[in-house]
Amino acid sequence: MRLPLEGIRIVDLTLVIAGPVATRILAALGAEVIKVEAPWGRAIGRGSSPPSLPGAPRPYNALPTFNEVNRGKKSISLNLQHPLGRAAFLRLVTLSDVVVENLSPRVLPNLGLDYPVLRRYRPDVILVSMPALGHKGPWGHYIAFGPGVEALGGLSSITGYEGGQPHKPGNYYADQNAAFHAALAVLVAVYRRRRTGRGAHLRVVLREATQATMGEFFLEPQMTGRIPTPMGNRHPWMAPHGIYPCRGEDAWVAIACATDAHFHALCAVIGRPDLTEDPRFADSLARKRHEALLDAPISAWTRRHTPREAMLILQGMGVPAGAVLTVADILGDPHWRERGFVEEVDHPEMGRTLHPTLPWQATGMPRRQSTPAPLFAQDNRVILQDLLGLPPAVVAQMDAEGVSPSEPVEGSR
Amino acid sequence: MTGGALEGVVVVEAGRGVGIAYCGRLLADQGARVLMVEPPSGSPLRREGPFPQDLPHPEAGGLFLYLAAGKESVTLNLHTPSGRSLLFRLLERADVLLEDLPPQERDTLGLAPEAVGARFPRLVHLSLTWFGSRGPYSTFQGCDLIAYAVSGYASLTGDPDKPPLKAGGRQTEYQGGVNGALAVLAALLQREATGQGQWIDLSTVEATAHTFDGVALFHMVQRGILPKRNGTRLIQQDPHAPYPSTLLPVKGGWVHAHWSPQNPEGLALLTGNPRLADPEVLAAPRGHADEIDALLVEGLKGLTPAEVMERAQEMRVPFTAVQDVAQALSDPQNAAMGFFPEVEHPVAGRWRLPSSPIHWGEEPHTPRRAPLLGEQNRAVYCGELGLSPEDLVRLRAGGVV
Repeated sequence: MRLPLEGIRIVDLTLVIAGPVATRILAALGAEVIKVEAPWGRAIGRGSSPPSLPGAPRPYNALPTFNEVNRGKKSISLNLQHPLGRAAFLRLVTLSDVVVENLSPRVLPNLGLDYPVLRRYRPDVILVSMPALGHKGPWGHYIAFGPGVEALGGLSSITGYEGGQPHKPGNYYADQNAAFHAALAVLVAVYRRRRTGRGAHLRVVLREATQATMGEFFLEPQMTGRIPTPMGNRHPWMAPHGIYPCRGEDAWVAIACATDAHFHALCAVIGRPDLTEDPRFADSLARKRHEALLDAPISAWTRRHTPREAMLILQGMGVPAGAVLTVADILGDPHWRERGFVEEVDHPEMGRTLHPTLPWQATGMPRRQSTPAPLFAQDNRVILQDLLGLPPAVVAQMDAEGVSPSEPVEGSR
Repeated sequence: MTGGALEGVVVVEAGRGVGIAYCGRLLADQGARVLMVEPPSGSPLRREGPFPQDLPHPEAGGLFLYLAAGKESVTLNLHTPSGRSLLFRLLERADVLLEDLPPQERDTLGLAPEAVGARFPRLVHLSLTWFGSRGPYSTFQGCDLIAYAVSGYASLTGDPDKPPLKAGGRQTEYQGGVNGALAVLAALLQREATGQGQWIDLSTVEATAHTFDGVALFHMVQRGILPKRNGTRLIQQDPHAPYPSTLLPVKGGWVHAHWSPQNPEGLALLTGNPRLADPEVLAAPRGHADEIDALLVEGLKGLTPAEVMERAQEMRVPFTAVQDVAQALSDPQNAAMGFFPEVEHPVAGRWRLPSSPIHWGEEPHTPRRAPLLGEQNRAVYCGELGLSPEDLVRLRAGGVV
């Protein structure tokens, strides 16, 4: 069975997280993704957070984040500022369907490789750019990474404990969120090209993708004059709605009651049917007003159970509840295991590593087992010589002169 | 301007939640025709605020105006046989069915994946549920808070000495939505080759955990390190990891401070403090996190968030201001990109709605307004399905539309 993007070749000029995650999704959907790495790849291309595995003979090949996000791709090295590197790149573009980049908006134009140029070499090329804040406007040239984008877009201002300082979702939320939108943009553009034969230059703006996933908040000041602030784990109208302590160290369960039926079932489980008779908790409005009073009786029960126990008991009685799973819990949890969300990859310099896969299953679309992330420049010969047809002597010269080196060139950036 | 990429694609959206509605909105933004099938009482999203002047009205809810923009609306009671038979007639003409019904209810309504697949072999059918349609938790009830917990994300968000913290808004539901749109597009592309539709089993919880891709969290566990919430700093605590990435207080607000990969001495130049370019600090930045925070707070004292951002960005140091939503709504960059265009609605009035983060060319995309409840009933049922106006009156009397 073919995968949706089989036969689609993608040139990957992305760095850090947002761009590589986008092309990693496309690789999982069957595309051939060729990472074009700068010869001085270590600076940002192969990242530094977290550091390489200690003692790795070639540290640039043993980077945990790089190797997660670049599964299923190929790698070549090319200095795009060198005439030979540029020529090889443009030849690659003529043989490719899509180019994805998340460089600063000035980089491709400065290299003379912006959309009008690429289009001369491949008229139906699809170029997808991923600027942090946009490609124009007063802040279009600003540098920002995921957490900074969350700050500027308003997500930090609505995340936090009640009455507390701005906060952030753990991790690099805005990067991944933008990556999914960018992968969607590529799929849409490929679909359109199959219909019309036309390429396009699309831009997916990281900050705007963050604003899109909290869109309703931007109506609040317009409609009510109020500026939203952090609500902690509370909800505008559901109560009780919170995260409660469980038995064990740093162990927690989330409980949320949307209806009277949920609340009555909760009171039965925690052995406090009397609370359903209390006028302070008679309906959701009353419960919302007195929600803080419910924390103690709920916690008294949750403290006697592990998070998973509490979830199973409560859900079994019809109360929406969820264990606060740790990342380690997910790896051992029976539900996650049955759904096959975690895949194992055997990397030549890092060994067996575990990774998240695409979060859906579809009839007729097999899950593709990822190949490991590429070693630096591992596909130079296959791509430059076999695909682009460069003479072996030229490939050797490009290696020797550092235009397309097989090892990173240190210190040039 | 979206290039009408999905022109000709017909989507039937029979959903209740934010996730499926966001999925539909993403497809509508790209030119698909999205037909919302609402119960006669209206989508539950119509009952959620914010509302103008806090006066609830089914046509004026901010959440609905945003998520239903660019769609059409027909009403249909799926709990009646005539309602279901009309839905099937709509599906005969559709390319995509989006639904977020709980699995048992979905099957009771005749929308079991096998049945739908047998009857409409070219249809792409997305089932978006909290926990997925298979697996031990598939019958569990969920909401954004619970999905955030079970996805593992809550364990990564918040302060170490406080309970885990949910992200603001309804992020898990939106993750279900954007992953749903990805899955639908992948299925449409595959259909071009095979002629076959497919059924997609998508879990909001997994869609949220999909955001772990790229930060090697599972690998940390393999190495014996449990990733844990860490305030506003990143999860990685290795002393040699780069730093800062955190929120810091300045005059009258907060900024996000971030290291500069290409300009490591930038922090020293920004604050005038040479210690921030000390080789000892630069060799193990994360190990000096508390000291770096203190030096930055001291060095930036007296500057507002906007002033810090402007000064830092001039030096190519990636600091940004923490803005509240009113500030973001009116900032000059969103204005230049045209991200909040005004959309006129005959009942709700004129409001600035989020556009699409996907730009085709220079013209920003202005979505069409959200539909009134059942606005397209006549056009669809009479104009397209061939019912007579009398049929429509009878169906209305019978509580079907």
